[in-house]
Amino acid sequence: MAPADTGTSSPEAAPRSPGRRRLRDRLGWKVWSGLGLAILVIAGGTSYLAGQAGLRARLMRADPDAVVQSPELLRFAIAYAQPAYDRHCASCHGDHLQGDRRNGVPDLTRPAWLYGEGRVAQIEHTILHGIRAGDPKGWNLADMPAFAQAEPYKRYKIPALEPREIRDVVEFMLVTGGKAGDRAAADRGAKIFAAKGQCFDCHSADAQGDAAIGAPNLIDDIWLYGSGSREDIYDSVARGRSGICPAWIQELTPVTIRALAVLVYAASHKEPPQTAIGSRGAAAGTGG
Amino acid sequence: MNVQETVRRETARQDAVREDDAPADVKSVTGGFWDFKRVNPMRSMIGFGLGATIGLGIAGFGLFTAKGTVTHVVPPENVALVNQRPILRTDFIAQIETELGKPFAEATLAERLKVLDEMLREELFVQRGLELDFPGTDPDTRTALVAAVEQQVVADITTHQPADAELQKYFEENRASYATEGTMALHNLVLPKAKASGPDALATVEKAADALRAHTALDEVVKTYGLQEVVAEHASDEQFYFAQKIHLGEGLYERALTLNDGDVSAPIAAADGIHVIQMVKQVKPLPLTFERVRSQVLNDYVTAAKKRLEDADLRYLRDKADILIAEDYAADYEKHQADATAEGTKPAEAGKP
Repeated sequence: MAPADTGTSSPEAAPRSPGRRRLRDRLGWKVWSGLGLAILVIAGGTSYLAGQAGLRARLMRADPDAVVQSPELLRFAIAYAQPAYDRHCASCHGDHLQGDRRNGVPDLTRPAWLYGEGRVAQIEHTILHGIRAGDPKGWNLADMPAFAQAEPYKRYKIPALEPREIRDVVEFMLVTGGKAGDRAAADRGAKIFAAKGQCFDCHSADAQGDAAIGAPNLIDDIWLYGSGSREDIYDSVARGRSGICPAWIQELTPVTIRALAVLVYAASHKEPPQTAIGSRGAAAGTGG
Repeated sequence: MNVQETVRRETARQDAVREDDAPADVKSVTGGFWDFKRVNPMRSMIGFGLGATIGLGIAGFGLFTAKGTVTHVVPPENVALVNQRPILRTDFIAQIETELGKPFAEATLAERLKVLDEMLREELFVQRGLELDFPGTDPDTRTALVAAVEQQVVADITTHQPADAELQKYFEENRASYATEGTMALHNLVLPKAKASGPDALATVEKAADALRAHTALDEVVKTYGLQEVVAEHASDEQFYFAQKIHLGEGLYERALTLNDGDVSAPIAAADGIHVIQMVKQVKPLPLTFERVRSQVLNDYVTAAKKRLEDADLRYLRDKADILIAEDYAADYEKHQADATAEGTKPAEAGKP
């Protein structure tokens, strides 16, 4: 065995064989093209993902009420929220946010709000913490008592109403809302509204409700349950109401919730917000 | 020379070296410690040992000084991180609007910074409170913790909208709960105890009942037979069942339920005298349709599901926990728990909200 061979010929030299070199020469342009394409795809994907991440960050850092003033953020938020809405919200609120008055689910396409004035920040708070969902930060200040039960209200003592008194209150609501009704009964109902029933306490003395606790306006002819018929109103007064909106803070990401709030806002407002948002807020809205 | 030939020659050469067993040749193959052109087993072993030692050192340092995933960048959904615990922007906005009573956009930078500082302060104190185990001792914190855990347990229920078929099934299983409220308008006459002790008392009330059945005016019956009408304070003629039950008491109420419009009961002996009841009008509860009570069915369904889930969670926690009860209560507690379990598994109770 010639020692000269040691170190000069080894298995590592195999790729340099003419067969392999020919193969590599033949595939060379294809390999380089594939590599180039892969780099392009990765660069494009990374750039897209970075852009999306940037938009998500801008959406979160913006003043929520000013987001809708930035067309770019508004478009992004609506597109981002739509799949989450379809998956988590549409089963109750409907495919087109139209609600369901059979279950007391509000129509989100109308600018009528039980809680707050419908600003994005307020909508976001409701989505995050829910209504009567057990979240300490959620809306959970009042229920509609069931006045035809021995203990109408669980939170504190309220006297039950007699059948005639409930009918009188119903007449009061019909007449006050501009519908046909028994005026004598409505007069009696007004007294019950203002005294024994303690209705004024939540719905306010003029029956226009209180958005701070989610007590609805009773005279605007917008109904959460039913259509405002005598029977529907009777059922609400006699049997009570306490609808629930889940607290989504555990289920959805903050950016999804912000985007959903923007989506709901956009659906219910045809015009941009007319709030007194200063230059600082506007700057924040565009990502500042 | 092709590859196969080269490999064959090298193998033959190495075989020859082994066969010769010459120390000089071996030395030429392995090389010295600092001869990096040749393999040296000692150097390899030392390198391996050094690498393993450094790796174990790094792993050990990471293990014993771990603080979780540490970030030095505040994520966009947070306004601050305090010891890596986030303060959410949404909480910050809500806090500003609550404190200042105006929209977030109208808050000045100074106001925002003031609120942020307050929230940082609060977070620091909360973290210190956790270190001192206040949640374990402070009643308010314990209550809040219980509520938070309950909410977490039932989160899936509140975020799941049951299908119509599920609601309909629940409605069918609990039909009795979905009916109009029954009402009664009646006259409750009594011969007071002071007058009802004589031998003729029962006969007197029977005569009064007959007179009522003969459509004699109520006032005249009262006057003629010395009865009194029991009228609850503020009560009008028509009352819901529950109200009449309170006014009449259990015994009289049960008898009143059996009366139709215009019926007069037989005399009923009670603690305060002998009663006779004339039913003016009774409206019995009428079953309601699913559509009319749909929202109530949904609420009841969700409430029942929450209850089942909470119970299951509590059972799991009990099974997992090591609970020791003091000797003087242990036996009674065990019996109490057994009774409660038996009560909870009754088929009739299972579907109740």
